[in-house]
Amino acid sequence: MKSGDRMFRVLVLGGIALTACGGATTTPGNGTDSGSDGFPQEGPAQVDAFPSETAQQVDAFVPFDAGQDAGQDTGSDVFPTEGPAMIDSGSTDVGQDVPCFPAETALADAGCITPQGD
Amino acid sequence: MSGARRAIAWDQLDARALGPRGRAVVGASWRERMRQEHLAVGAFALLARELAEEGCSSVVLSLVTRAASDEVRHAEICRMFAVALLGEREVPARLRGLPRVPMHEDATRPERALYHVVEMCCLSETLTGVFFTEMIARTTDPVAREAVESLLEDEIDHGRVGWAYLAERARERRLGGLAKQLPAMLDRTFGQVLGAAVRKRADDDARLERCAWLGTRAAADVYARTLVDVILPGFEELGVDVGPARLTETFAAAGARCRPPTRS
Repeated sequence: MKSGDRMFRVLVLGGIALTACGGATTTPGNGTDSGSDGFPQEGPAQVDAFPSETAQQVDAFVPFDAGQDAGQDTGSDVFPTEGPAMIDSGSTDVGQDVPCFPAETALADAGCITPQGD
Repeated sequence: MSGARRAIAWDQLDARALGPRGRAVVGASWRERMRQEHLAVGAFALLARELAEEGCSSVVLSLVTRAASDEVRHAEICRMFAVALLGEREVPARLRGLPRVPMHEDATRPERALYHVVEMCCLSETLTGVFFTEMIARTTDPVAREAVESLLEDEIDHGRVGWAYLAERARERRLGGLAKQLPAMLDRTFGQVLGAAVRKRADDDARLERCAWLGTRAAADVYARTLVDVILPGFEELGVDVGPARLTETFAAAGARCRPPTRS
């Protein structure tokens, strides 16, 4: 394997350096979302709509009629996972039996991989 | 869509040199990688949403958001690689579905965002970056090298952004219960591959490695060294207590692989 020290410098120290100049957005110990401490101010969240990047504050949106409250509090703490059945559209479903993040090394024995076709 | 920023001459991949069994083995690994890259689209989309909600520096939010798009391209590169070795009929044209990630039910919203970034970026993507670096070192086929390089140039950023965000949270002294979560995260990310390397017969094959493939032993060595030399020192660098992580079987297995063999 390439030098572990080199990989540490490239990946870890290289990452730490990305925000080392004080790019943080919060004041330590202050968990409030106020604009004064640099924390991003949340927009006008009183409406059920996607953000309008034209920044018009008037009723420039049309509410979606998809039967959900703008995606909020659907009663589940996870995004929907579709089942493993093949469909006619040409897309193949993928999913996981065990909650985990994807393993892009894609080794068959990696803990969270279900080999395709099983 | 070409599936890559750089043009890859798939028709010049020297698949014949692998033989039928080699094509099947290497092709299946790239088909599985396609699936994992697709799942990573959903994982990074989740992270982007959580970080947008929680707040972070713009460089972190930008990289995480871009990563979701990167993974779409990666999935297509993996598909093309698999098709070159297995044929169109053996590889799905496209995928759908989302990863099921640990939701840390007892964690607060800010803690959950941190745990997700750590597990996806500091662990999984950092490991992927080292893994592909090692794969390129062994790959001699120029087309295969081009494909892996096109993935690796993004994976480095996908790992770095995790350490960038963790550094932010460390500066803010908002690491929550991360130290207690690390053992389970390490087990999910590293455990089974390291365990399988002990149980399984070694399948390492230099002929396959020349076309972007790592066998069980080589992969386990990468996993072990990444954990011991890169990831745990990274947490220590940022003041995260890795004591509980060092007590795990996963760390013991990694440490055993990193020790030089004793003479008998």
